[in-house]
Amino acid sequence: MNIMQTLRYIVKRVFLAAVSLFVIITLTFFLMNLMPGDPFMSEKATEESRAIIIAKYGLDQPIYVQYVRYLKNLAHGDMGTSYVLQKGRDVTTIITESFGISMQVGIRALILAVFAGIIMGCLAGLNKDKLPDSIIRVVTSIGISMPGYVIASVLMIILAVRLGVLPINYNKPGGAVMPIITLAAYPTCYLARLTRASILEVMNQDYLRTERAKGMSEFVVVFIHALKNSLIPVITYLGPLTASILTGGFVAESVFSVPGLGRYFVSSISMRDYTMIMGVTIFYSSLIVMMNLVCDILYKIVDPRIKLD
Amino acid sequence: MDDKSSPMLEVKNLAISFFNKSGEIQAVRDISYVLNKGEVLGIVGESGSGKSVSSHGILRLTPDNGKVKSGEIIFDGKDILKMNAKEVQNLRGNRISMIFQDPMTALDPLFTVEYQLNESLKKHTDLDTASRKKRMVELLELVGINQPERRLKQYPHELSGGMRQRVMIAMALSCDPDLLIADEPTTALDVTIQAQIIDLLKELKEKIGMAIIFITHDLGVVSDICDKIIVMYAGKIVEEGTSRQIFYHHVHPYTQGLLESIPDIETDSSVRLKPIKGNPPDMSCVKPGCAFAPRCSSAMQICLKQDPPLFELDETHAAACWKILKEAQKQS
Repeated sequence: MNIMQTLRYIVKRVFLAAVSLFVIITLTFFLMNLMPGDPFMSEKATEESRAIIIAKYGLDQPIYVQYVRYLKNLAHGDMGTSYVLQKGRDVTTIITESFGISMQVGIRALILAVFAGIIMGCLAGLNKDKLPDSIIRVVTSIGISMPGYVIASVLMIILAVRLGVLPINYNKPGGAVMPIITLAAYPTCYLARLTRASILEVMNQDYLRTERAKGMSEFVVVFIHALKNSLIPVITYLGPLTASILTGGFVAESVFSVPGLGRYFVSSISMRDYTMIMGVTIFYSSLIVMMNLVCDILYKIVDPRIKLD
Repeated sequence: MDDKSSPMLEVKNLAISFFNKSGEIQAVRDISYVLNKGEVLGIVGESGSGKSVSSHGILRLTPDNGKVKSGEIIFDGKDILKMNAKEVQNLRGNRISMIFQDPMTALDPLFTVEYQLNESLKKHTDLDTASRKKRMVELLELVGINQPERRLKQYPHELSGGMRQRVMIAMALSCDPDLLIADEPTTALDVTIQAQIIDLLKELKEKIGMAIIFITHDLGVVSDICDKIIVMYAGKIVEEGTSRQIFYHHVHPYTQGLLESIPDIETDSSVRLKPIKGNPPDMSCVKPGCAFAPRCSSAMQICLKQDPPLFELDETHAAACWKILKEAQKQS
C-alpha cells in the first residue's frame, strides 16, 4: 500500500512537473523573442545575406508559427542546432557534452560541500560557544558573504600564483581542484550554519533525555538520534543545491575556463542563441524539478511524519 | 522485599544548583531520604520546588548548566555520583529507569516503537533477536496496549498521548528495574487517561514489585499509590511521612495549603478552593529564615530569621516548622 501511495505520488508530481515545464518553455520562448537583436546581428554580412540566413532558420515567420514549430520539434526530442555558440551543432549534444564536464566537477563539489558542511555544523553545534564553534562561525560567515569570483580570485592568487601548487588551467592535472573549492564554498558554509542551528535545537529535545535515561551511550544519543533529527532541514536544501551545483557555477567555470554547461547560461543569452537558451533553460528546470522530487521522497524516508500528497 | 534493613536507595545531603549569567540558582538544598525495596515514595511540590531536579540527579540527568554541589546518592551500596559514565549507563534503563512528564515529546519521532524499545533490550540484556521481539510484545501487552505487533511497527506520531506514555512505561520496565522514577507521568494527559496510567502503575507495582519514586505537584494523584510522601518547598523537604500521616496528621502549613487546594468531588461547588497566597521564592537570592515564611499565615519572628531543621515527630514523620518546637515547649 505504501509503495502504491508513493508511486501514485510520483506520477502526480511528474505530471505537475510537465505542466510547469510547459509554462517555463512558453514564457522563455516569448520573453526571449522580445529581446532586441537576433542571433546573426554580429555577422559581417550584407542586409540581403542576413535576411537569407534568417529566412533559412525560419526566424522571419510570425512568432506563434515559430513557437508551434519549436514545440513540435521538441516533442520529437529535437532541440534544434546552435545558431551561434557552436554553429550547426546539435543543442542536445552540446548540453550532454558540457553537462558531463560540469557534473564531473559538480559531483565532487557536492560531496565536499555535504560532508564538510555537515561535519563543520556538528562540530560547531556540539561545542557551542567554545573555540571550534567560534572559528567555524567566523569562517562560515565569511564564506557566505564572499561572492564566488572573489573566492576564485583569492584561490588563484594564493594557490596558483604565489605558491604555484595548482594550475590555473582546468585541463592540466589538478586543474579541477580550484573550481571544486570555489563551487563548494558557499554551500559548505550554508550547510554548516544550517546543521549547527538544527543541532542546537535538537539537542534540547526531550527524546534525547529519554535516550540517555535508557542508558544509551553519548555516541548513540548524538550520532543516531540527534543527527538524524537535525538533518531534516538540511535535506530540504539539498534539492536545489544539487541542481545548481551540477549544472555548474557560471563564475567558477568562466574563471577557471572549465568547458561546462555553466558558461552557456549567460553566453547563450548575450549571443541571442535562441535554441541554446531554450535548451539550457529546459534542461536546468527539469533538473531542479527532478531534484526537488527526489528530495521530497528522501524527506519522507527520513521523517515518517511527512505525508506525501 | 527480602532485606528490609538495608535501604535500596539512600539520598544524603543532596544539593544541586544551576549556574547562569546572573549567578547561582539553588534548586535543591540539602535533602536526604531513604527508599526501601518495593516502596513507593511520592515527592510533592509546586513548580520549581526542586522535586524533578533532585530525582533527575539520581540518574545523573541534570542539565549541563546544573551541578551537584554536595551529597551522596547510594544505590545498592554504591555512590552513583562517584560512578564513571559507563557505570551510570549500565544503571540507567536497566536497574533504575525513568518516565517523563510529556509523552508527546519523549519519544524520538523518527524511529519506530520497536526500534526504541529494542535499543534498551539490546543494551542491557543478552536476549537474541527473536526473544527480544517476544519480550517487546509481552511488554506492550503488560502496559495494556492492544495489537502489540502492529504498534511495534508504528511511529510515535501514530499513537495517542496515553498510548505513548504506555510505550514509555513499557520501555522503562523492559529490563525489570529495581526502581522506577516517574516524573509527573500524568500531568500532560487528560484526566481519564491520568487515572488509567495511575491504575496501570499501581497494578505494575503489585506485579513486578519495583520501588517507585512518583513525582507530582498534585497530592490527590499520589494519595493511594504511595507508601510515604515527601513534601518539598524551595529545594528543601518541609514534611515527610507515611501517606496517612501526610493526609491526616500533617503539621506543616505548606502541606496544609497543598491539601486545601485539591478539589474534592464531595464538597459543595459553592465552597471555594483555598489557594496558597503569594509566589514561591526566587531561588537565585535565598534569604535567611524559613522559605515559606512570607506566605505562611502562622509565621513567627523566628521564622524570618532562622531556617527550621526537620523536627522528628515520630519514627516516620518529620516536618520543618518552628511551630512544632513551640508546641513542644508549651506542653512541657
